[in-house]
Amino acid sequence: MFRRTTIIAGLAAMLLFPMVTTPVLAHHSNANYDETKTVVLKGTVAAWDWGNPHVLMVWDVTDEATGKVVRWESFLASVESELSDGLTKQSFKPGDPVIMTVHAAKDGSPHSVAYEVQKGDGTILCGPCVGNKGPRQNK
Amino acid sequence: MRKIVIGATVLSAALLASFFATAQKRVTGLDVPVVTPGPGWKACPRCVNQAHIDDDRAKAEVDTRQFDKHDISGVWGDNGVELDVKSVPPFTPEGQKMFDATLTNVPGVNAKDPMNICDPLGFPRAFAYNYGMEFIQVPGRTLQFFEFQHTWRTIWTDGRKLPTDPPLDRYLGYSVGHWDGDTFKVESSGFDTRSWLSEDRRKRVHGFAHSSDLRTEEEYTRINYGKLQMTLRIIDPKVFTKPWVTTAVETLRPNNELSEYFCVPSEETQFNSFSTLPTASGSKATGLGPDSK
Repeated sequence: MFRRTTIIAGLAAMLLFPMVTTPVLAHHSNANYDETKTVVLKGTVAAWDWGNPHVLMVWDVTDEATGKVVRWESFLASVESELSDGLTKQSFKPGDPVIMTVHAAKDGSPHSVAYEVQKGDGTILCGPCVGNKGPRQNK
Repeated sequence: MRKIVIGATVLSAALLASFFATAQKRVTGLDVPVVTPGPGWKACPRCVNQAHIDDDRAKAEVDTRQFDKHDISGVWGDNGVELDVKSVPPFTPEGQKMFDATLTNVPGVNAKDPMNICDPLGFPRAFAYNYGMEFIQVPGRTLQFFEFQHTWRTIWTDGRKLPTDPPLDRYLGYSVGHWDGDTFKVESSGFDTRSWLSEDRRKRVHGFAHSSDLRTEEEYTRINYGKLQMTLRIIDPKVFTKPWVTTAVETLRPNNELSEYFCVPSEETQFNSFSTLPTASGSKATGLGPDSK
């Protein structure tokens, strides 16, 4: 079942991801992400999931040296909060270039919390992407 | 020589273009467009940034406008009134057991939080949660709407008393209110014990549970047109050795309307299926390690 605002491309690629068997839950803390530093990952949008509880960016990052493609995920705040940042459901579509600055997962997996979102041309859409009212814990 | 000059010119142009490209500023403040459903509709309190909030409040002259002290209607805040965890009272022995029992069993996730499966927040958690709130006053009742989970509670002002032994406990309890001078006072009881008073946001691995003896007392005083002084007293002698008091001043949002923020179980499921969140047991790193910035 997909939200009407969600457009998924290359879904078969996601089968390359091993699914975690532990039930995972929304409304989590950021304890599993390294908030002491950020990483910049340029890539191509696979999905711009504009919905609650968290807006989710899914994008493919290519290792220029090896050509290997890794699908990353990064969550932002709620739709309401991201509207205050100036983001909309039309901000991205699959295939768009994107530059994500994120706090990456501590275990090295391609999961993250978004810090800054840029279009491919460098236009900064939000940063920090927390609803523009200062740090908030993701809910 | 000519080739070197051309090359240098091209390089300079490229560097200049690169500089302007990376120097693009983000749109901030009033430059960020306000998104509404359409003409006549308003953005939700959380859907606008601080510049818009300040602008709206200035245009409504919230600090100087004449107001009725017995009118607390309007949309207030966008970030709830978070319980003051700095002043959490000591637990009773029973209360400590209840608190300990909420400890999560999934690293990085407050797994036992009933909100995770979209159970109602209940009161006072809905009051404390970080979305907007709206009062509407009608004869005999004051309605308090909570944006998160799109719910409301009825505060009866028709003189009735709180039920001493309600037939059914409620997530939002039973509430009665009256005016004491210029302060609207509310008393509530009859709460369903499945709700948490709040998540414990100090480490986000516990929640503050409560007993069926929970009572709450609130006071609302309109300081001026744009500010509402609030006090919440949580009284649960089975859990805490003394009342837990939180005070705050909420600001009026004259140009906002509450959004529909349901907690949707299917959205939670879809989000969770999308995002294989890392856990202590570790999800496999399937590819590149990130390059640190």
